[in-house]
Amino acid sequence: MKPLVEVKGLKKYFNVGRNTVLKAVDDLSFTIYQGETLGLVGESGCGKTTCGRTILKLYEPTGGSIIYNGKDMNTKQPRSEIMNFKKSAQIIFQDPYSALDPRMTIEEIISEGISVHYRKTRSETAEIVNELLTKIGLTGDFANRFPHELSGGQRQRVGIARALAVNPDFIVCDEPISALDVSIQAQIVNLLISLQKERNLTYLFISHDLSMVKHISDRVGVMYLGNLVELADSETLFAEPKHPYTKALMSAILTADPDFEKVRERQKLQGEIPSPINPPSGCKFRTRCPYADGSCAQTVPELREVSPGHFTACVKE
Amino acid sequence: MEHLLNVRDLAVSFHTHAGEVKAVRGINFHLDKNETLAFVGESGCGKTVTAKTILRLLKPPFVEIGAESSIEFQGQDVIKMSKKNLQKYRGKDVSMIFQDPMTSLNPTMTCGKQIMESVLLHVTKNKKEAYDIALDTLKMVQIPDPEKRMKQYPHELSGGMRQRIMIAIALSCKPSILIADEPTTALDVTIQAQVIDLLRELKTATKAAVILVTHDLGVVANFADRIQVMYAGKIVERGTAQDIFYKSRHPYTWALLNSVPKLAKERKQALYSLRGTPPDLILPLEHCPFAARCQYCMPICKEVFPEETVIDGQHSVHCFLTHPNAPAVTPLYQMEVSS
Repeated sequence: MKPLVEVKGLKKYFNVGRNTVLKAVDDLSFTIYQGETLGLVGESGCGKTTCGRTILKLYEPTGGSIIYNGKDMNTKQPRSEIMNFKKSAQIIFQDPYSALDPRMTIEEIISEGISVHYRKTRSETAEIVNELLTKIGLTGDFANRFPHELSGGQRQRVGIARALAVNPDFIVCDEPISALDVSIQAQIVNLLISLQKERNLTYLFISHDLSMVKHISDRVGVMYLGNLVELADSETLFAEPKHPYTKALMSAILTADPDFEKVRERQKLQGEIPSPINPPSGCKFRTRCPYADGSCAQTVPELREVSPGHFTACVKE
Repeated sequence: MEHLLNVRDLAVSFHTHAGEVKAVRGINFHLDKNETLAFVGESGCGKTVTAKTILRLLKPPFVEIGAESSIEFQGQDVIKMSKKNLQKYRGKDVSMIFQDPMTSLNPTMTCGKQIMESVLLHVTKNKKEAYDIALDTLKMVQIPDPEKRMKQYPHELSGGMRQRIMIAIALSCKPSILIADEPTTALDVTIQAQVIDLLRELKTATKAAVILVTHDLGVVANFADRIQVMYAGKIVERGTAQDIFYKSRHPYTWALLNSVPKLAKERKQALYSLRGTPPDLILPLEHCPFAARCQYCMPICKEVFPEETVIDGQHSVHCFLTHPNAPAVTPLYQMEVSS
């Protein structure tokens, strides 16, 4: 398979005043292949959303490279190349209530990207918008409505249509379902899967809902405090997690199966995620890890391949 | 046996500019000592409204409780209670954990003061004693450094910690009923598991009955003894956790259970998803409210609301599919055993 996005040593630091730096994403490397879905999971504050936005250069990276289709987007590129990147990499935002401009009609929202990247007449644009609205399960008469007239699920569909309007190859889905109701979640996930099959899209699917990530992703990466701690094929990751943090995350999933829940053993995770402003030395997870000892404080574990395609960052493994 | 809480024909409606929104449309249920009863359903199905009505937190004139409704707690009718009695009842007999710990705590008061507030009202007038009770409750909810937290403001704490403060406030007066309204929705997965474990431990320790309001079936499977599935202000199915998760009879319950991905299931298979959205609650909805979205809908479903059919024991359902003359259907939902 051909790599579409290669992220190498990506860093994004935020200055939070008085010489303090928040390392939201710190030395992150992974590859997303053409046509696959890479899931990214972790607790809030682990840097998964920052990672997604930095890859799209919505945030200026502090360091590292983002190689998109063979070209490093974090170096100086000709304008045409940048426009091409902005056109082919799109994002679906988390909160469909705040992601749509309340003063624009649905048609204006969807066609904004088209007018930037393509030369189309007004009637051609209207045609495309109409087609997109039907595609995502709404009807053409939604074009003249405003976001406040729509329900959460309908708004998220508009968010998807906006991303699709410029014919992208790569879409960052930043928690696209977490603000929605259960039955609507299933509708949106089904829509995303069918669009992917139809247009050969590549997704970076960011979520904290582990069972949904497993459902939609080919490979899954687990993030903790700005680092990737484990990356593997989604089946393998859920069947044999290697990193203690992944194990704890897996066992925290509450399944809708009371009999199974009664017999299963749960590995409890003590405490909460430490502040990313002053993370622990060595392995960042050691303060909550049940297996941690002195050696964990000394060395920063590297992401190593433990079996084909299965990477983990733990010195014990 | 006498029930701890007995709710009869509860109907709640809101007066809005668009008309009367009938959020809860005549529901009956009871709660016994030591049990956990869960309300499950999508947003807008009336589960939070029901929970808040038990505490009489919704105020007239915008809210109207049906004339025939009664909520009986230990022989007293909560709906007819005087203001003074209500004040004794809230927090002391029944207390509530709210959905969002970020907005439900007072940002201008220290956590300690917020816990002591209800203790001073219900248990003791002595400030020193109240402080000790508050500290003990904080220890009970397993918060690290309880003395320090007493003096801190909510913004200094993380989401998980704030939720623990909320639980401490609710438990400080040792209520006999604890209402938990989406206690874990705003929290991270790992913290969610911690809070559920804590609630389960506290329930055993304090012997309180719990009403759990949630849309998260995982939480329900871990915690609830009995479950009531609500849709458009009606209870459509009720039963024990076993009945609902493994032997459910209502198409809406099937759909709910099927729309969450199973860990053991094939990847990228389409999830079962319901068509459309829940009905507008301004409409009268004399028939089965789920008829418009139900794939097994029969002509009669669009005319009358089905009577309650008892399946066995505590398991009962409002659906014409259980009628002896109804066509046999294969339930959508076949439980796969996760390994």
